[in-house]
Amino acid sequence: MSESSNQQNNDMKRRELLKGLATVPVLGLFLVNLWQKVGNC
Amino acid sequence: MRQLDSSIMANRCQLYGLVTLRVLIGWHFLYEGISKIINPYWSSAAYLLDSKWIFSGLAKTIVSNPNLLGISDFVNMWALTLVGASLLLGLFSRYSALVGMGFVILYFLFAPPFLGLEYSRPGEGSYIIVNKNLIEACALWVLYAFPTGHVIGLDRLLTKSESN
Repeated sequence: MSESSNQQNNDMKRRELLKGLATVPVLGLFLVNLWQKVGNC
Repeated sequence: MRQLDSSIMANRCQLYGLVTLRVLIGWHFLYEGISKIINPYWSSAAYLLDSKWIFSGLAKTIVSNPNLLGISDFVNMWALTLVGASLLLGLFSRYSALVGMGFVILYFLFAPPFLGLEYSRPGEGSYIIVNKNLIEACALWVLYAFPTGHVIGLDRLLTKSESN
């Protein structure tokens, strides 16, 4: 019982983290494109 | 912190639409800011000199004073960059939407596309009263009224750590 609630708790924490960091890859995409654009100048 | 209506939280299409709008405007602001920072020759002088309507006098005062022009350039570059990063990452996004809206309204008021006002700088499109600045300001108002950073964004991690 407690093991399954622990598992559930970990899943919730992971979901929280994923939703919190969801737009960070967009910043990475931005920086890659910026790097390419600046490199081409 | 103001929360979203539960109906929007439950409706994925509305929620993701708002998040997408926030990220796209953040991207736009961030690039506008960084492109000015990395260009050593950029200055707001040309834009200000072409200003018309109620702020044209203020614009000419700023351009004629090197200190004021330096402050104007610095504030523009870094505010656009920080507001952009904030909106993109969803960190303090409600406040940055408000600050960003203020900036875009200022850009609009310094060079409004009103009848009878002619600009020497060629515009990117054809406008009468409504231009893209005004539309972006309204979009930021929507993002201020419907904040999403605490749902998808770093604000979510902040609010969780505050509540723990």
